[in-house]
Amino acid sequence: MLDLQKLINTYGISGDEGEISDLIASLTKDYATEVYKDILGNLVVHKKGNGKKLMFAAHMDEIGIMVTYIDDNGFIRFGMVGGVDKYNCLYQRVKFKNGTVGVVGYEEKISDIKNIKVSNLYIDIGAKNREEAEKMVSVGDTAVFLGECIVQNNRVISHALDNRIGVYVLIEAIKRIKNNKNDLYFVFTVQEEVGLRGAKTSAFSIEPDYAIAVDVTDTGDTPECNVMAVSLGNGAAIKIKDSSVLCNREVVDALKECANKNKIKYQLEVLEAGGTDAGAIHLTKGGIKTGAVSIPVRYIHTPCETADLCDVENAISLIEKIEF
Amino acid sequence: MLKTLTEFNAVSGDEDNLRNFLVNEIKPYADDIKVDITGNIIAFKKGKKSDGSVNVVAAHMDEVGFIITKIEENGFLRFEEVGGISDAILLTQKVEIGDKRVSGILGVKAVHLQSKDERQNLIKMKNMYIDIGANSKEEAEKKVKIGDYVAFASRYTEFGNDKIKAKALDDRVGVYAILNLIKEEYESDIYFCFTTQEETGLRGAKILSHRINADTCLILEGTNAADVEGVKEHERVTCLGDGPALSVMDRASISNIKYNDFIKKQADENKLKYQLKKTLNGGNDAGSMAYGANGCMTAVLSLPTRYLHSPISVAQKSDIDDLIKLSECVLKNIHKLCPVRKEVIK
Amino acid sequence: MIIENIKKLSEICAVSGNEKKASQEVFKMFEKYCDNVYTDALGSVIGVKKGLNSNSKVMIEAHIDEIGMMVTKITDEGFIKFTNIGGIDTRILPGNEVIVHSKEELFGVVGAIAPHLLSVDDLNKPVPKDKLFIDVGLDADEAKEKVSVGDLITFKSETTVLNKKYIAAKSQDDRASICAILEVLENLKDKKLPFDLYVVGAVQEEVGLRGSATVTYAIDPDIAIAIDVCHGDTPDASDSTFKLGSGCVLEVGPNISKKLSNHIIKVMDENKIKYSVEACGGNTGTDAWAMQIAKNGVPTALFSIPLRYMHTQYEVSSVEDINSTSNAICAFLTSFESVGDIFC
Repeated sequence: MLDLQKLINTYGISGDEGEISDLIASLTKDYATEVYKDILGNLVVHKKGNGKKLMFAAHMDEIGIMVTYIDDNGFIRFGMVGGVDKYNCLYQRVKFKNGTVGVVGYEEKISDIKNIKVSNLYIDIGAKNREEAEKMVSVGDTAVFLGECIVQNNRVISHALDNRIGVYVLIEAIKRIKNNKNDLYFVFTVQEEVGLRGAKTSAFSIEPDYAIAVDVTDTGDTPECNVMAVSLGNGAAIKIKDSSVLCNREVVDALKECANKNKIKYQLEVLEAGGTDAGAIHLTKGGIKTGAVSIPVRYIHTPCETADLCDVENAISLIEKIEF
Repeated sequence: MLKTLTEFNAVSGDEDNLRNFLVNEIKPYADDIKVDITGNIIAFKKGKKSDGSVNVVAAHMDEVGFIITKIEENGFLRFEEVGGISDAILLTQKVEIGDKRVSGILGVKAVHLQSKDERQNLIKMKNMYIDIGANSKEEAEKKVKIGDYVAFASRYTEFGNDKIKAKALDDRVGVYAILNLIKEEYESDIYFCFTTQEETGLRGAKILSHRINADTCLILEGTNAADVEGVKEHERVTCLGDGPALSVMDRASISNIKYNDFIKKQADENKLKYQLKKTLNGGNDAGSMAYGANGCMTAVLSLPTRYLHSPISVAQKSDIDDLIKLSECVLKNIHKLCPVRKEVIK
Repeated sequence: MIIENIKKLSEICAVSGNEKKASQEVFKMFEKYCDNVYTDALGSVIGVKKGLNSNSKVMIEAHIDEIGMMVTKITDEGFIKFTNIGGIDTRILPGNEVIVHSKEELFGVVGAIAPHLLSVDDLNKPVPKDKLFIDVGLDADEAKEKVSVGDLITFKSETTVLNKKYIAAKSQDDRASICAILEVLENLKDKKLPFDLYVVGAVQEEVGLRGSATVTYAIDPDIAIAIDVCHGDTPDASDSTFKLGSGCVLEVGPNISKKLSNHIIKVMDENKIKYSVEACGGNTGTDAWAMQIAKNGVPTALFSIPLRYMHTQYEVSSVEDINSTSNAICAFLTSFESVGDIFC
């Protein structure tokens, strides 16, 4: 749990994953044959085995904003990094890499909130003028949304569960796996939130026989929500499809069988919108047999993402036990 | 030279004439020139002290335009766009069709003949046609055929205060810069590349990324300048006269932080002008290069250009000079960037 | 042979991502003509017909997957909620017969609320996607036991010949093109070509041109030809449609190698093959778009077969157009001694 909180509180936005990858490296290096970063910043934890090459991917970046302009009065204009909803971000707090905190506001003259565009939003960091603001942040700086990590009733509420919870699952699995048969590559990918980018190049370099992405997925268990058979607390989700991938049957069947054999609670996931690293990985080179294990999370891409810790535990067991 | 370059017609998929010209131009300066099967030019120049790192500088050859889709019985031509063009700028533009550069006018019925509804709404491309003065399908077919490419007809013009107007400044300016850059000598090995089909989705560069396993790639582009009437300060992507624009992020790529810091340092040390691009819109070949094959470090320097993707793109000459100066400075020192393919953590 | 093959292939259920049944059938069909047949990691079928010179490779491709639906939830009353795989106009669904491919094949209908029960407002509107459901006639317990989230659903349709020349069947997008490939193989079965010919039935086209991208990467051909369908003429659409029976359609534009399409047009003229030319300014929306930029880039051409009512349970094609497509490709494949001749 402590590790999960540390992972959530460490800075890592798409395109600037240096700090979070350093933390992951320090948490895993004692359990690995080799740990390295590639040219895009993907962190690879290799646990040598003599069998088939199996790659796990969990992205370590999170969504946020980037400063594009600072005005004379010290207000900041920005653009979105990844899939940030412009309505969800109103009056949220953001935190820059250097610790500066700001609040998202919008131009009051906009009479109907439906009509706001990203260019009508601004961030107030409490600076009195441009000069003061520029001492605190620069154009090109990034920030993430703040949402304190709270555990209640065995459920965790926080920002960045997408996908630090997936990262946590892989780290725990790395620690638990011993004497592995498969040649295991745990890849903590960069830039997933802006288009599954890190997974694409890392899969190209590693060229595994099988791949499994570990990420969060939506649920269909909140009042009057869209139809989806996934619920919080019903176990790790074995993905059948999302908009980026139709999971390989062999991988899906292997995951189901492994869960049944080891009495791991699971549910099947058909996600209508949204994608994961699996989407980029399976189209690599001549094609890679790819599946995904998801942790059900409510309110994805908001500062109050909510997950069930039992599901997390089930996901760890599934990753620990799966073999090809 | 920039005049010659912008007056070539090279709509995406139809870059042959410009390519032949460019290959000839760079011959004296390159150690090796390859034209791949899809038309990218890859010119290699050995460095004085090659350190084994693979560095690329690239610009795209193609421009936005149209393609003929149908020849009507009465000799008018129907067309669709190649690349992104706004319907609003099309009416009564002059265009050139095919290798023979047949002249035509983008027509629509006179405003007097339009209904009130038609007058108030934007006329859509699919309701427009090209008039080449043919009276029948037979007559038209003697001059053009389905699939012929269509480019804007627009002359390179110098005007105002240090300004130029031309079509296809996106990205003939990048091409022009590379023609200058390749003449210089460098410490490191450098691939000077001209790509195809950027405007149809960064497609030539995608292939290039597999052909060259680059460590670093600098993209030279044209980007929007929005320092014009009616645009708020914070939405002015770039401004004319403030030097080349360095991208932090756009829809296609996030620039490598180390590479960007390196460029800023070069600019500061050598007192060269640059500006940061203010919005995160748009995308260019860096998206294909950064995430193709094993991936590489990318950065983008762009020429601020008003009225992009139109026949009347406007740029400032001093920005072009500054773009070339900064790119040259970056490439001359690129060996100091030290890209690491695999950094093992102890 | 065309009608039999279409019947055989189109009645198979092979929704994107689960093409095994189609790939097994196509595998058998390719085996008759090829020296070697195999499938790749994603499930595409590849047949190799060895030629005189294995240094060059020409690839002909069509996709074997079809659009369909997938179970997202079994309701507490035993009805099935679903999502689409690939592009389906959900307005065509109410009142249609389907098959749910669970442990056993279950017959079902897409529920259609009787007009008496609908308000005047609702009567004039299509049923919203999230209100659609499938009725397999089972009680909740039985439905939950038999049906699982992720099970596939396909249209139920019986191949029918119209006026002796048109074929009405599902999944002719793109199995009509597979039939054209089989015709090519049949016509050239006694001929040694000056290159290795790769015939490909690719998976997952309908969800984003996925199978063709990886197949093309692995084969790395010198020339690739995709075959897909385009829109056939109907009384309510004239633009961007082609008359059924008017021959194959050759695509031109940035997606297509100019030298290759010019060469093919020359060959088709010489052989008096009926064809039309269609120009597209960018993404053709076919596998050709992915194939062109696979690996180091591939000069790509695209043939289309006119098809009415695309992505429905009864798509209509013309035997003559399928024949014309295969004739054009045969003429092309026998028109050059070396691949380089086309591109010099």
